[in-house]
Amino acid sequence: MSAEYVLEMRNITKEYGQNAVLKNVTLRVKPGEIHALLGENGAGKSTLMNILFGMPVIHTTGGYQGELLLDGETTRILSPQHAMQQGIGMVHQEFMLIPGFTITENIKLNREISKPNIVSRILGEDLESLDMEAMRADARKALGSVGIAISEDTKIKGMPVGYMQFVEIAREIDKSGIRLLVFDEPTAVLTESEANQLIAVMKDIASRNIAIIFITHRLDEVMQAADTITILRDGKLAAVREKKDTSLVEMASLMIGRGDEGVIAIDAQAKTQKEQIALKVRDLHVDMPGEALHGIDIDVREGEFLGIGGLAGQGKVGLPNGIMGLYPARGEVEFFGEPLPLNDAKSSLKRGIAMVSEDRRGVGLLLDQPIEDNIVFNAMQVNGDFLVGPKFMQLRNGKQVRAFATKMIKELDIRCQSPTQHTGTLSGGNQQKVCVASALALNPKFLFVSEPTRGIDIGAKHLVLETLVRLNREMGLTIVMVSSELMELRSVCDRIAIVAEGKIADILEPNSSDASYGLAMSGLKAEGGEAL
Amino acid sequence: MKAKHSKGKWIASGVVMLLAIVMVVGGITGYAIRTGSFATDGLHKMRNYAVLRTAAGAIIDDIALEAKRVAREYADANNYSRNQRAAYASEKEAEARQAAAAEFTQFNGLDDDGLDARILQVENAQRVYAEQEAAEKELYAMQVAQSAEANVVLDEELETLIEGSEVEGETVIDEADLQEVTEQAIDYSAFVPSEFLKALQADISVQYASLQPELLRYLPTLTEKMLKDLEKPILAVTYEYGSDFEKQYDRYLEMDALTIFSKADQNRMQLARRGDDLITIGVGLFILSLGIFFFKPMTAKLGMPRFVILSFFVLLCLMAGLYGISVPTMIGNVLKRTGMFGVLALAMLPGIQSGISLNMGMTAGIIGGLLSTLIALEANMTGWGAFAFSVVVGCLIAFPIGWLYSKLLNRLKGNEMTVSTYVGFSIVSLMSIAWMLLPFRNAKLTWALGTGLRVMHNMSGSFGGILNNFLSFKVLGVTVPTGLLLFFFLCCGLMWLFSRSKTGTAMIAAGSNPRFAEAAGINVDRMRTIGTTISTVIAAVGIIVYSQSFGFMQLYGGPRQMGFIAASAILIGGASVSRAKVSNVILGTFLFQGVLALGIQVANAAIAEGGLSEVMRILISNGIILYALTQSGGDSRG
Repeated sequence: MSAEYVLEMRNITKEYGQNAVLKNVTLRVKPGEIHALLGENGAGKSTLMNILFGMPVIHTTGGYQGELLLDGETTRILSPQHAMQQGIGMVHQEFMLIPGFTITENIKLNREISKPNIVSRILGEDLESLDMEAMRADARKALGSVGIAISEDTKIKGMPVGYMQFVEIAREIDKSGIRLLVFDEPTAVLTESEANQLIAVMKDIASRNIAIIFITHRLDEVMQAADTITILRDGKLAAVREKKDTSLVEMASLMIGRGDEGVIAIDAQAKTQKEQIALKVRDLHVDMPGEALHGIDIDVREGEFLGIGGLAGQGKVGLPNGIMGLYPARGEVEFFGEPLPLNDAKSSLKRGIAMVSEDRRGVGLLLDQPIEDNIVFNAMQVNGDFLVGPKFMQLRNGKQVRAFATKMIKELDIRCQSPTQHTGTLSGGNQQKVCVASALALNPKFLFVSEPTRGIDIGAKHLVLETLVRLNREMGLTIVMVSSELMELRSVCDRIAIVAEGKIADILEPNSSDASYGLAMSGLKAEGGEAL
Repeated sequence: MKAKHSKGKWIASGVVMLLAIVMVVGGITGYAIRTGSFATDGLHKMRNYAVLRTAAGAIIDDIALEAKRVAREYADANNYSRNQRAAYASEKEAEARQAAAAEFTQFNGLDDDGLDARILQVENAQRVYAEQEAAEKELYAMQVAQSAEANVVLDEELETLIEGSEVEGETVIDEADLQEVTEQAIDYSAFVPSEFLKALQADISVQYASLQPELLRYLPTLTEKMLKDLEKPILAVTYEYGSDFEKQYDRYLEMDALTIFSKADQNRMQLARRGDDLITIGVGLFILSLGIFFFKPMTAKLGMPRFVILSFFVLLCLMAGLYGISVPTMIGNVLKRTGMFGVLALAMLPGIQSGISLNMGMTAGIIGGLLSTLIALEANMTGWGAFAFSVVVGCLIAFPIGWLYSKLLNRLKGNEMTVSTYVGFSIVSLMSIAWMLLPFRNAKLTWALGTGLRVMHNMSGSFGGILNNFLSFKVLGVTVPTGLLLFFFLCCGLMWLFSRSKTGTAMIAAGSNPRFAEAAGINVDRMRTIGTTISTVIAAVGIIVYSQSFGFMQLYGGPRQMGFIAASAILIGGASVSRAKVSNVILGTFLFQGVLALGIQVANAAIAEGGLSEVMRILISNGIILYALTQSGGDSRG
């Protein structure tokens, strides 16, 4: 190892169309070190790794600028296979394992050890038989080095999730000539003891002079494992720190710290907070795949604009979905003092709780139906509005529907050809406005808004947020807004609850420090810097 | 809009339009000639020539025969070999024939009043006879149809027909075949002409006798025997029942009658003959030019598949015109078929709307309809009462079937197409056993020997055609099955109203986006149950409407293909497997049945060969079904 760095990525810039996702980012990894790569969702971590692995998505969108050096030599990685040949391995967040195969077969997949037989001597190497003994021996060795005691003949199917993670690592270790391993959020699915074991394994691997890039958002693990830390923010290099020179609080504020840039300026009028509790949640568990909640307590006051933030996959969108009965939930929820039955969408709607779903196209809209039908659908089904005729034969009141839809289109500035245009043909921002209109048609007392600005342009974002603030300030509507955009939450909300790992990590004021937000998002509370 | 059209489009549609105008102008000119005195006189001349030419034919044949005989004698006398003798004889015969033809086919004064008047008299006698004969035969057919024996004969014929089609795996009998059988089934062997008719027949011979002197005047060499032998050929030339300008023209043309005109006059006569063909082509070109010009807006509005099918439909209409198929009869046929299959296609609608996609298991509902109709037939019910009874009881039977079937579909979400196709097929097979075992006792329903229900049941004794004939009227030769169409539109209207109701809206939402519906607190499974049950019930009504219109009820394998026919119709109408509207049903049924009915008729006319036209028929009907299934993705949203 002549060069100082096993991997050096110099001044990497990557643009998707007009949108620069990486700006002049430099990453230097020494041999045998554990290098943590930190950043919020969308900070550019995955793009950087995609470049490292030569993923097709990079080549098909015009490549990147900057230099990539492996052991001091300039290289251009052409494909994931090429990366593998260069000795770069990846432990995936989602397991890339075949459930029906044994551990040995998975570890040795496409790198099988084979021996010649009669047929292969005639028809070529592709027909050589497998040397199962040699493969088992290799697999056993790899498993041993990650420290799990399990037979190499076990099938992946039915194994504990944590074990799959280790098999994945074992597969990478087994590859000969490996010099750099990337761990993409490896602890996300692990229990605490497994996570500790993993860190031990990582240190063990690093001691064999294999460098590790450790992508995570758990700051405490970073402090535990990493030697060097690179922090990305909004596609830019925020800082590079040695572990000994930094602290949890500093990392947290570096990760979040944007100061006041880009805040959506909405006139924050002073308003009178009512003391009555609108929604009281106690020990709520929501079983939403990928966004599970494990017992949260929160009170929402009437007339409040509460924000819920946190990283993706931590469970923040589980709250509205659980209360609205879209995913199985258990716990105690009171709405204006009355108990709210869970797992019953209709009863929540009937009591005046409306929701704008984060999954616009999947849950929020009927894409094949006209705008007006989308707007009035819930009100028609839940409250029986917009209907005429006797009880047994209630028909849609076309005139009333049209009038209301036209009014909403005007008020929310929905850009469309006519109220009969199908929502599937609208832009994301206008679809979102239709969703808001649909929620408003219910005359709600309480509104959940989940990721209202995801995938819509700046102008529409502004309008949607403004509308929400107006509804809150002028009409006294209680709003709970879930968003991945911390800036957004901090510019419009009264209080912001940060959800991490299925629990509420902290409830913060909009003007709390960046550090406390950063810590909360990795599941830590600011005071004292201790893990919860 | 117009500014957007490119230059090429303007030119192309302009050129085609110009051609169309030329064709139409030519056609109209032809029509004008035909109705003018030139064509009438010309046709008379041609007829007179054709008559004389036929007569001359006898002389020419005689001369040629004589020449052959002489030649053979000469050959025998000179010891020709066998081959030489034959060659010599035919050479001489041909020479003589040519010489005789040159001599005897030049007639002067074809518009001679004497000849013309005589031929006219013969024609009149023939016409009076033919009309009287047709009237008497119609009366006879009606009498026969009312007697029981004829029905037995008819049913036997039908059963042969069914057996024949079963072999090909096609259980839906084509209507054209059925009509043929119905016509053939009337046995005229026992028909006794009246005295009056006999007298009219005798009169034709009398008139022919008075024509003979005129013929002799032109062809003095005609012998008595020749004149006698010529009676049939000449009568065949002069008149044929129901013949018009074109048929007469073609008949005379066979006798080279066109040669009597000058070159220019020949062209005029041909123009008169082809006038309506030219107009048909002109109209076709006109539509084509419009199609080119409005291609974009049309395809945007209708969607490409509908544009294609519609174009094919128009093309078939024009071809039918060219082949001389009666257009009004055809349109009436298409209307009838639309009403006949419409309710069945409508049964697909609630299935698609509630999210179970194409409900191939609608045959389960069809079974309900068949059962209720059988009960009505068993009880010897007739008329509106029988129809109402069948519909109401059919719905009552189909309701629980549909409900159970929907429970099955709710348990097997995601595989609805497979499950429903399987259910559709298996219930047909299951019921084939049941038809043998069900305790129906009415002799009209069961096999003559043994127990079990027969395959085909004639509905004419109960409520066959009751909807078709209700308020039915004829306009421009098109028979409009008012009652049938009214009933179809009534069903469509009810479904449309339902789709605007609270439950209907919820059902459609549950079908198009189940997660959206759940978020609105709608019980998606319940909505699927409602949709499936309605679909099954409509299918029961559909088969009753189908049977009464078809005139026969088919058991056993009969309903097997109904699901495919209904699915094809609604898909062609622009529905997808997840989205459908009432308009898709109406448009789709009309286009599908229109193309099917016309396509088969045109194929029959175009390919006279019996076997081939059958192949074409299967190709067309299955081709359309296949095309429809490729459209199952539906159009893009818009």
